[in-house]
Amino acid sequence: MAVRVAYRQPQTGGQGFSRTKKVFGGRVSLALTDVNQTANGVSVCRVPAGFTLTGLYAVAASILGAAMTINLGDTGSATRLLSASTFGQSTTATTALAATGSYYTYPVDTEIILQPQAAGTAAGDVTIYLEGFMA
Amino acid sequence: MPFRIGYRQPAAGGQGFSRTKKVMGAANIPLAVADLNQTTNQVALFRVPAGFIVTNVFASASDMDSGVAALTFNIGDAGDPDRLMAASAVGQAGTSSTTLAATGLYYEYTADTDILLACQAAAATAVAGTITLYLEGFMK
Repeated sequence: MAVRVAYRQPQTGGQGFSRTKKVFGGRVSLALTDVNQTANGVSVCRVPAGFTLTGLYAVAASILGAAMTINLGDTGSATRLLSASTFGQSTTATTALAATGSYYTYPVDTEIILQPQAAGTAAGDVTIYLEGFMA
Repeated sequence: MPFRIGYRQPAAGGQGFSRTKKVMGAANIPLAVADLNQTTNQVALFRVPAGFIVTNVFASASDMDSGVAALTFNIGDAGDPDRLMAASAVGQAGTSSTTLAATGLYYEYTADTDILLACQAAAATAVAGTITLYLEGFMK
């Protein structure tokens, strides 16, 4: 059997930062104006070029609104990571990363933007973590 | 769409150790019969540093109950003894689990902390054995 080498050199090694998993994000405070109108967005963190997303964790420290839904994405796709998520309606965390975000590689340094899809009623803190690796 | 910067600088970068995932824990930590046949003893399996945020767990144990397989483990810390795993049966028949309790998911340890194992239900017939426990996470 002949084997053709389809991968490029150099291969990722076991040492060094290449392909090391990292987690970006943290806890940010949302003002009432961030929550009660759908035209505003909040940048919750900035991911570097080459970051390839594998997982997400989002939780609200307090209820932001009984009918609030939240989009999480970037200027290229406002719903790349979360689309109309209800995590702001309770203090229960979600790890349901949208299919469009799974293993998505950011080609440039990018702001991760949270935006109400349906407005909420109260200010509060949210914790957003994005897990992935450097491509 | 206008957006406001909600995070503080400096943001974590793609290089360096910041926000790099780490795995704490060890393989084949010995458990004595006295650790298994009563529910009042605790074993410190390893220590995690302040700022460690837990994302995943892996536990694998040998069969440490040769009786009617009653043995279950709680794994947590002094603040919450089942923060990471509650009544896990991995020691009943030598199995493994990756089920992290909801209370442990993205939990941040704010001080250097011993990770503690205790029996939630003692072994019917305790047999000394080993447990492998790894916690995956990152430094805040």
